Amino acid sequence: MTRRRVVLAIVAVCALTVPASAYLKLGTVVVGGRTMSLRWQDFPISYFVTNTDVAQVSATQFQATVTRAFNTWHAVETAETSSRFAGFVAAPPNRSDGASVLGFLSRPDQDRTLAATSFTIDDTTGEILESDIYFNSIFPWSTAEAGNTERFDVESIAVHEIGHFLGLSHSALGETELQPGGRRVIGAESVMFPIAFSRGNISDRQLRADDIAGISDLYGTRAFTRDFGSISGRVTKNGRPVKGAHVVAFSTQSGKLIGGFSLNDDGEFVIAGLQPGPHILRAEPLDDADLTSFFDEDFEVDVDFRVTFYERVVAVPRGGGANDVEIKVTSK
Amino acid sequence: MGRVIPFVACVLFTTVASATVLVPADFTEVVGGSQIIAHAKIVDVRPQWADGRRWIDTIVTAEVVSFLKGGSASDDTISFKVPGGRIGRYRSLVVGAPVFARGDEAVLFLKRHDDELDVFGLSQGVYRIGVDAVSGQKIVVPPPIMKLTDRPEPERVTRGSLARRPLGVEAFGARVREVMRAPKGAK
Amino acid sequence: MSATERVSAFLVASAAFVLLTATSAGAQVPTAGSWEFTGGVVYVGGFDIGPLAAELTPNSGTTGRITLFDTDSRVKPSPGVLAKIGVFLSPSFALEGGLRYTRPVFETDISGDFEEADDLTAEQTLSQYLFDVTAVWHFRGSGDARTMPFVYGGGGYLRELHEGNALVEDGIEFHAGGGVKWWFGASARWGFRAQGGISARDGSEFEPEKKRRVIPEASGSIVWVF
Repeated sequence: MTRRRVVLAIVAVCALTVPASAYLKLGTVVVGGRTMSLRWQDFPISYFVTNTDVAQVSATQFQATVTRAFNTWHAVETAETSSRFAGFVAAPPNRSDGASVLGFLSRPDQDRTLAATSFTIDDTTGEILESDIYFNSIFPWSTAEAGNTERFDVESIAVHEIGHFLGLSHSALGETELQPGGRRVIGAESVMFPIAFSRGNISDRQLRADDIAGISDLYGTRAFTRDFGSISGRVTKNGRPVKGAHVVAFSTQSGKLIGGFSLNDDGEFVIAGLQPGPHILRAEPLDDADLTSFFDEDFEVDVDFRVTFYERVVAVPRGGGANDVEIKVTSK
Repeated sequence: MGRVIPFVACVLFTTVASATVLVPADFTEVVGGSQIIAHAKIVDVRPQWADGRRWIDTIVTAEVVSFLKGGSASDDTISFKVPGGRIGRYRSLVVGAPVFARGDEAVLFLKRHDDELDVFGLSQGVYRIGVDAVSGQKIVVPPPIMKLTDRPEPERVTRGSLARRPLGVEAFGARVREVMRAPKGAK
Repeated sequence: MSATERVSAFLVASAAFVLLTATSAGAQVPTAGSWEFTGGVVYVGGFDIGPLAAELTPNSGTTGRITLFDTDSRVKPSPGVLAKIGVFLSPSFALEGGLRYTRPVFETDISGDFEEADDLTAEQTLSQYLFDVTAVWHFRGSGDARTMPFVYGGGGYLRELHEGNALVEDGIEFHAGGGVKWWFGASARWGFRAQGGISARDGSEFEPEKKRRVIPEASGSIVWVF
């Protein structure tokens, strides 16, 4: 097996005073204190599949399904990504062996985790050396075309995990309810929402606007830059910045929802990948979230405010940004 | 009209979001499913190669401020394992795994697997302690997610709910004890 | 009062004004080769865009739609100003070019939030510029020559700027209608012009379905012939 090194793109860093993007992107702090996005530079990305069957899913079926899931992301017209299945291997998917491997792995210690994505990174350069995805084989899986009501859909979970693999973090576009046994998703409008739909549900095989905006932000085409726009601004409470607010932009023309977060000490947010036209903005606290799902250990999130709409309709320009939005929230 | 170039990546964080979870536990299950619940401060973070240098785990040692469940009076510290870590120039980053640094303070919900302690639900058992910007008091974030009524039907989790505010450390501890005291099957 | 009712009331009031203040006949009305300048105010009707819900994809076992919040949008009627310059090619037929400027408000009612956020009406102000060419046919006949009914029809280029000039849209507009000119004094150099009609415009970026809109408009102007 030829080790294929992929080089992390050094993305132009805006002076770290303007926070990035919608949804969230994965990043790392390298030696020297620079923060860099986790992003593949060379395409196609080669990946291997562990040659392990589980009940009702053979390795071959699994490979065909993850290839479809990769292709779902590659089909986004406003982003340029590609991958290549490089073969079956015996190695499980969680080893730092220089190869990106996807496969099943028994993790009874992670009995609430369906699947997980990991990266091995060269911390001096930020380069991704490999990325692996394991599907926890303690759960029942299915690759049935119409899904299986008793089993989790491999393709749906694969689309989510491959979103991480490509550099996306989580979206907060979803709502939940408490029921016996835990929390359940009522509805979501992003494949990158951290909580899976129920067994048998295959909705997450299809990307939503928020996912498309995210992957396009990472690997956008020129047409994306030319034809879409952004909204930037701040979230404040009594004049003080609010960090960690979830801000959602809603197009009054298309009905699409794309989310972002206020990510710095100034409470600033940027939501990119928006179609031109008027948008409604909504800010809400992440007081129902496992915050580690979204932010790292140093990120102090303010969750003490009420859900608030911005009082102006914001017009997004084509190929530019609508700026100077200030969403004023109030304490609970 | 100003033009903002929206596509430069100002990136984010060393760790990121969760893995896909099955069904996230509500607070009652997090309490019930943990063998040890402790208010603690991180004093040591030690990455190590695992499984014949095939991946990196990190052993986190925390100085216990108080045990809310499990532990013993003679235990000054607890150690638990989290996936991922950095050795030399190589960092293993597991999406969704918590990352700790010396000085962090949190209420930890730990589950025993074989002979080791892990964080409940990969990251669901980490409730970090921060400082409220207005009051200056220590608060636990996020607020516990649990049903507000005794009714059996599902209850919507509403963001921004007035009924769910970050709790002070003492109040959070009291909530944990209250959950532990509740009869099995209660909310 | 709806926009249509306002337009109707304006036309009735204008006609009453003309009839009540008409004086003797015998004025010199514009002839072929006369130029005419018009300046005044205009009132353009609005239109409903309709409801659109922010929806989440439901999980299995969830009944019904999951609506994050509801919206209902419209463009409100708005006043503006206009200016025209025309030339009479014959005693009855004139051709004119004009500019109309209005600032309609686009507003969205937000309600039914999943997390019970307060309902709100969000809005933005648009700037509309219409550059048009219009053919006008005047009815001259027996009766008071100082009162000239007319009909008109034409089209133009509509340029619309969203708030802060963030987004510029343009399209084609067509209009038609009728009105009356009433000349002051015997020289018929100055007069008052009232007209009403409909304006049809292309759809816009804020509409879920970009369909052609037909909206009423009315104006009152001072006319100067030279």
